Amino acid sequence: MNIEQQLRDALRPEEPDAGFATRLQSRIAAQAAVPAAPTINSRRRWLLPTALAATLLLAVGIAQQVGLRNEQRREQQRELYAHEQLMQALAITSSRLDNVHRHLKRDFLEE
Amino acid sequence: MKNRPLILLSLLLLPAISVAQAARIEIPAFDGLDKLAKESVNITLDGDMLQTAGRFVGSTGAANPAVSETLKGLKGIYVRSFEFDQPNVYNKADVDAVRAQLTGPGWSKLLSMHSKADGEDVDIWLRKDAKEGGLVIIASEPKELTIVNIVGQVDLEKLRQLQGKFGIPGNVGAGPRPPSPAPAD
Repeated sequence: MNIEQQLRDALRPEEPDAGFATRLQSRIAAQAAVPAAPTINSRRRWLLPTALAATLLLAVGIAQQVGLRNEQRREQQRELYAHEQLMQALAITSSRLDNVHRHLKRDFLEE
Repeated sequence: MKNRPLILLSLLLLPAISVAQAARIEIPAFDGLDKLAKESVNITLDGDMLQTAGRFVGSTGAANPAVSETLKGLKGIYVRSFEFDQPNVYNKADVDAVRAQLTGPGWSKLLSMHSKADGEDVDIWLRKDAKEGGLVIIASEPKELTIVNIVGQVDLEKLRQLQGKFGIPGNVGAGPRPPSPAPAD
């Protein structure tokens, strides 16, 4: 058998067997059903909005905490101020009453 | 004619409102006097501020039950006090205007004291009202003026005994230190 004959035999078209078409179609259908694994590009597409959203949430949380602390500090300052005012008012009042009391006591003893 | 019930209601409520306000006197503005004074005190502790101060007293523990006890039944504390370097700086007519308010019904003068030694005059008025009591002290000297108005049920002895206790300094006039500036709202 010469080389020419060998090539003809090798390249001779062959008919596929009876179930080939069915097997091929079912394999294509099965591959289409499986979602494609996310590629690096699709992951990057979500990375920026997610990071922005997280940053925004963090900023809102920090702002709320700072606001709450400021409010607490203002309330403490207000309480301290009111307390100082009260103590000074009571000091002036009690001092005046005590002066009168001492005067009356002294006058009574002198009599 | 439609407003007649409203007018009638207002007329009925008017005496009640004036009774509620009666224990608080009108303290003159004493404009510009604080600039002439060596020391000046202007304290206005009404409902909200008094409650806040009371909460603070309460939160600092049971170390000062006498202060908490004194605060019970009080609705307002108003103090104006001045101490001057020179005598007769303040206007006596302003003081007389305060005295004039205390001639009305409800107020009774508890005592009037004059000290020859330092020329100090102290007048104390009390208001014994079932709904709302009150106290007014006017202490005037040539170089000092103090007006105290307390609205509410006042126990004089308890008030007097506070002196020198629980961080309340004793024997003060216009006060050795001005209070901290009011916090911004």
